[in-house]
Amino acid sequence: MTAANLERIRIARDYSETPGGRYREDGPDSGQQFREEILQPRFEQARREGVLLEIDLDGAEGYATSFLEEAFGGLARDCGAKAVLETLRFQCKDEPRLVVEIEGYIRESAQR
Amino acid sequence: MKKLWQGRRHKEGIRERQAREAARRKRKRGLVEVVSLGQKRRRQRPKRLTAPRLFSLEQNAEGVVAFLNQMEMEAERRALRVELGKIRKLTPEAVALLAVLMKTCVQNNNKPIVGDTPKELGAYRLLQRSGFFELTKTLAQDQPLQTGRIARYGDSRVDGKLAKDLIRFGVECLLGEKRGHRRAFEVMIECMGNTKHHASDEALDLPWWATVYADEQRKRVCFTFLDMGIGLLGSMKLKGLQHVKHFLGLADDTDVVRWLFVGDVGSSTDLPGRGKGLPKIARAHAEGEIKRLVVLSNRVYADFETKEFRKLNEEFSGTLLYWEIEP
Repeated sequence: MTAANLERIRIARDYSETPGGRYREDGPDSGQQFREEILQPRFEQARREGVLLEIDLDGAEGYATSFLEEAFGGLARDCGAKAVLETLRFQCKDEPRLVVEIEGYIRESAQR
Repeated sequence: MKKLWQGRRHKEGIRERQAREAARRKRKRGLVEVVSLGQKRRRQRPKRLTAPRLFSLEQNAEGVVAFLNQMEMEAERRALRVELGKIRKLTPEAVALLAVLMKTCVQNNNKPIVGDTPKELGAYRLLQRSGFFELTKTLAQDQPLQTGRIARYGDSRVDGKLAKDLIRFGVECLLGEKRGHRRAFEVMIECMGNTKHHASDEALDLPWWATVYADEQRKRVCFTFLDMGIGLLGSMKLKGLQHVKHFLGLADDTDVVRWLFVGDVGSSTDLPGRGKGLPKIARAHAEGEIKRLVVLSNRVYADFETKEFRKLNEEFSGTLLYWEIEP
């Protein structure tokens, strides 16, 4: 994979160092807001252009399950788990197992 | 010749004196309540309530909750004098509970709560450093270097920045440098989210409280998160076999709390991807990323460290989570 066919979202830099709860009405920097304003548009663009989209989770204070589930599980509910797993790549040196957790949310959303 | 005392100035003088008398009587009425049958009763003195000597959920959850329930009940009716002088053992989660309930009682009832301070030095220092006096303002105390803080949010908002600030404040008090803690942050955000979505059965935005206290002796930062909602048991719906077991008495409330933290109970919202927050908190404790995890909700006290899940005789209306970290 070369830099030319890899897009990247760094959550801490591009969105928030302090990701919040699930919905917009929960408070600032929610998972829903992240999905609607950043993740989904970039995901759709990446699909159109046939490139991968890397999600860099490092540098944030932490992630609540509701934030992750709403962002990535929500994307999978909207766009299909298969497409999401094909297109997204995750990076988290701070906590590598977070990647497994997120992929679990994406797969679970397909089972419903 | 018209006499002076019958004149205009005399009448004005009488009116002024009457007005002064009326004002004096009015002032006096503030101290005397008129009750039926023409009897007069002195305004009640503050009711004295003595806090238990062991003011700690770990060692005396029943006693602490009973005391606080009594305080809440009495505070609706009259001013209180809360006597803390005999406290021998005080712990941060109990301080958080006491501070929040005192503050809430005063706000809700508009009746003062005054009190004394523990004679035991350790307990006194904990109160002093925790932010208790700052919040309650019931006593004019010296404010030494504080290693604790009590924060309130009025509309159950999930606020990552506040969580970050509290955690960094606590860690800085202990280590001298501002540093985050991933799990502490995640637990706090989960708690905020739970209050937002589950603490009220009428979809009200209830306030929550979060406290941090740096325990320099034990080298731990202690967090308490608290809301006065319907509690964990009030906010979930058991289904299937679990419902049958609970209904038949084959499982009690402590089992239900266990199921919630294991992830065996589906979310009350019936929406996909829910009910993952509490199991993640329990996992973080099991894996040693957070130390001590205590839950107090409704009639259940759960200490994940000692694996003690106890049913209380006293009901606590709300949910408290307490956890510690070793940064």
